[in-house]
Amino acid sequence: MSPAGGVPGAGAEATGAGAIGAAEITLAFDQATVDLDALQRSAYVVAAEMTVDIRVCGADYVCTLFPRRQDTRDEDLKHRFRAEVNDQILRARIAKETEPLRNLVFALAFSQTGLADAEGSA
Amino acid sequence: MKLERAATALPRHGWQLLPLRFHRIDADSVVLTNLVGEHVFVTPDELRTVADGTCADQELLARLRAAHLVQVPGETLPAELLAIKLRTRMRRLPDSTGLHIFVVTLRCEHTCRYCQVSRQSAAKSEFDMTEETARRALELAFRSPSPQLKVEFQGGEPLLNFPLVRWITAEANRMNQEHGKDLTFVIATNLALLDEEILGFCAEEQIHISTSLDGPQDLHNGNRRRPGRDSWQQAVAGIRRVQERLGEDRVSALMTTTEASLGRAAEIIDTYAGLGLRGVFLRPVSPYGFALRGRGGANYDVGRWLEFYRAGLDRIVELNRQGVPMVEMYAAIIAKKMLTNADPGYVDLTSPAGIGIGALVYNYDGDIYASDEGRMLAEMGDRTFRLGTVRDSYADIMLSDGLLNPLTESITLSAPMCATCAFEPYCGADPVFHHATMGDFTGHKALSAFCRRNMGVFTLLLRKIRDDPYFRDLLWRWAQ
Amino acid sequence: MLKLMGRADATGLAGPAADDVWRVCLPEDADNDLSGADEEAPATSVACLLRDEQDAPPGYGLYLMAGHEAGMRPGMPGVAGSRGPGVSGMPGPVLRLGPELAHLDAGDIIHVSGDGRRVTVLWKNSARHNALLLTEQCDNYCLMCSQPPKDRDDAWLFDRARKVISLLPPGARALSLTGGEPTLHADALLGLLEHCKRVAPGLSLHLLSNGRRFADPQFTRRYAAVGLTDIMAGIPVYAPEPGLHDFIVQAVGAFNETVHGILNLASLGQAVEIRVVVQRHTVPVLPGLAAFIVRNLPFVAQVALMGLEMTGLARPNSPLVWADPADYQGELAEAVDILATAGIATRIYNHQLCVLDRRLWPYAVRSISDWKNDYLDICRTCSVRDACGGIFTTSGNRLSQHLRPVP
Repeated sequence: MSPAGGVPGAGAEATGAGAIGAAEITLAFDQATVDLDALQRSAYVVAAEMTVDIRVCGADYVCTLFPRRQDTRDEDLKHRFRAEVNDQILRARIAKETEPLRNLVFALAFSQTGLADAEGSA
Repeated sequence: MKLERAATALPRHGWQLLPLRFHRIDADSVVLTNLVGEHVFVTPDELRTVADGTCADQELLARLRAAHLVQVPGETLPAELLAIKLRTRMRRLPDSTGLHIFVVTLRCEHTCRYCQVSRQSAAKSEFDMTEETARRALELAFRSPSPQLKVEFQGGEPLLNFPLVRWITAEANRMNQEHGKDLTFVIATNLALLDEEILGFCAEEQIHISTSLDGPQDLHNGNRRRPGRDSWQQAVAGIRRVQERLGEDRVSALMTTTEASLGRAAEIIDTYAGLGLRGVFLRPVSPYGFALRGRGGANYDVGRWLEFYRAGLDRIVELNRQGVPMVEMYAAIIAKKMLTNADPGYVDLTSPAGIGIGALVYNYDGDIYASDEGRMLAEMGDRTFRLGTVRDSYADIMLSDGLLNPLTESITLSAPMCATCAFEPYCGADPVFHHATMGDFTGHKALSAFCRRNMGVFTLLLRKIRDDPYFRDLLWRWAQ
Repeated sequence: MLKLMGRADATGLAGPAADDVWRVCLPEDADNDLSGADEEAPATSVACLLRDEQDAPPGYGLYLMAGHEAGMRPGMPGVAGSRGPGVSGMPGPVLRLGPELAHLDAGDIIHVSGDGRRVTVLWKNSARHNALLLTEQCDNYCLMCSQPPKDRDDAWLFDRARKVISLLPPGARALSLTGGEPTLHADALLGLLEHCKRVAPGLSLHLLSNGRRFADPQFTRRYAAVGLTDIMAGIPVYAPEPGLHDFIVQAVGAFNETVHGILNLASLGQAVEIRVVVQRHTVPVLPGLAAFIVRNLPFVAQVALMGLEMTGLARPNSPLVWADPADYQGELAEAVDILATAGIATRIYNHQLCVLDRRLWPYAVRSISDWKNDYLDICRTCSVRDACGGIFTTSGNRLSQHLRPVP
């Protein structure tokens, strides 16, 4: 379940197109194991620490990380993003597994409120 | 014995997850929460094994079953109990608008540094509410389904228009004979104008007094200037007078947190304790802080405020250990949401947001706002949260796009990050803050000072619950 | 401690006196107890208690003679219980009571065995608590069960209970209905409750049940429809989740049915008490169970935390279930604190005060029934002996190591 780009130095870092001066911070994720939704959610969550550019490259998603602050170490940034991606994947899996029960609980909860009855729904 | 202990144990993959969310509060500690905010602490590894079905720790699995985080496939009781608890938590939703704020005048003799609203002693007619406006406002207020109505007088300084306060109280009581609601009154005042007539009135009508006390004298007077530079002395004298005349439970104080407050939490607490004030509300931000877009809004130093909060909470816990039963009100509100199914009825930390459906503000000029902060925004030129006037119908006000749009767009159950946040049951929506600082009702929570501040408080409280049995018991008391 | 079973001497006793339920009355109350009855048509089910050669007023169906040794007195022909008037000058059948039954008094209700030689006290009017056993059958098999289930037809227990309720004296205030599991006989139980409503509407009823049958909404509706205004179902819950609870009651699925039952009862406005026996397995989960009750079942009328009675299955299972109260005061206090702070009425039963944390004394109820409580010799000097329920006589030698008089 871990993204393929999870191991440092595993050759998973692609050179970003149009690199300017210092090397860009990139992570590659295998599309087979990581879906785009997880990456986008992760980018949203870490927005205070970095902005993330996501593009497709072959069978991978390549994410370029741009730190907000100058004093962040590259490795910390990558750990942070990878960890968030893993957590998003876990969250998505849990949500999918528990969706039927979640719907059931809400259905049970609202089936007896006056609000639902007043709306005229079944 | 026909049934061995092992017979009721859960085998590998022998359970299924119930809806759960998680948050990593420390490197080695994760908190799991269920649909209604019940929590269990686990290690990162335990989270993994519970999620993938390989956990062999029967004691942990038992705790997760009890907290309705996992169940055996085919069980129906957990879903039923969760539904009952969920329904209980939402029970007060249909009882809209319990708090009605009447801005009876904008006039004030203070010039508090953080106030954007008040006007200096101008002609009365210009900035005072009229009886006609008040009557129409009361008629709208009594249209609320809520069985409880709290009428809160604000300003400026409401005592500068005491005759109207008196009039509204009498009129509300008269109208209530027909409605039979649980009607209560609060005056939010700086107490400098308290006199015997007002005290007598408050005693007779069982009015509650809410005042401002920012902390020790220099801090308070530094923030809140008045002619004579004696705001603190007036407040303290007023508090004592009210306590004597009306009783200790009839006066409460609120502090406004400013830059100057940070670093002085313990002193502020001690000031309250010294005056016999049992409840301290370590309030999130100065009421107008968010309005300073780009300056104090998103960049408000949440980290420093959290440090201030932690210090204040520690001081309160210490006082409790010494036998002084003080309560930190923000923690108490959150505790109620964490540890019970009850609704604390606090309009600033609830989803759907408390705007309109929790509180309505009737301004001196007849304009109606969805919240006090919405009114202050209008004073600075942004009338997004003006819902209409007292001449509009109840339906026009409550069903307006001006109210429904921010309500629906800010609901946490469907907001990015909030929807998957473990603390969503404890938190709330704040469309006014996010509109003012970010330009939309939902807000980007990763960049939101509101989110960061609340997450900080939640994790602080949870760590203390996890590690400090004394605090856990104290919080349980505060939650009731 | 009162003895509830005793010997009687009733040679040749037969017919209406035998195998029947009687209310005990005193001669001085003849005017009230006998309405129109006389020797020709004696009052059934009303027995007259005579002490020390009192004169026997006519009209009673049975005469009890106290203050004698059971057995034939020399020189008295036909002394005991023959039928019919005129024998030895007694206007009706006679039972001589053994000395252990000397405590019998007006208002007590007794059962006389078929041969007239055994008297069982079913209702002790002066007692704090009275209970009627309705069945010994049960669908749980709790490790510490003090009334081990017996799988035999005992429907006659319901009949007997019905008679007792019919005979209750006017001042009767409260009655427990126990088993086994009374709800296993739905029709008989509901019939009995309806009978209570008719003939004893002022009675405060406490129905002890494992609650599982109430998971059936129809049964619960019938129960509520009886319309009793003062009945509380006392239902044990031993853990906040099925794994431990089902193990303790030795029945898979019990927890879910029991809690479903509690919810059904609550939804129909029926009073529920949750009972927790404090034993080795429940001690560690006591605070967690308290928190579970507050969060999930906050509507309960009260929570009763019960001390272990070392009888029945608790004896052979002693290594599994025994816990010395002195060792679990921490968990007990924490559980009580959780419940009490949340405003749930909490009571501690069957604990001796000397082994109960002092902070918990306000919650302790002097609850061991008069007929099975006793005190140790060391209790003689205890300053709180009268407030303390003492020990279970049935617990035999299995008592706390830490019992001692409170100075």
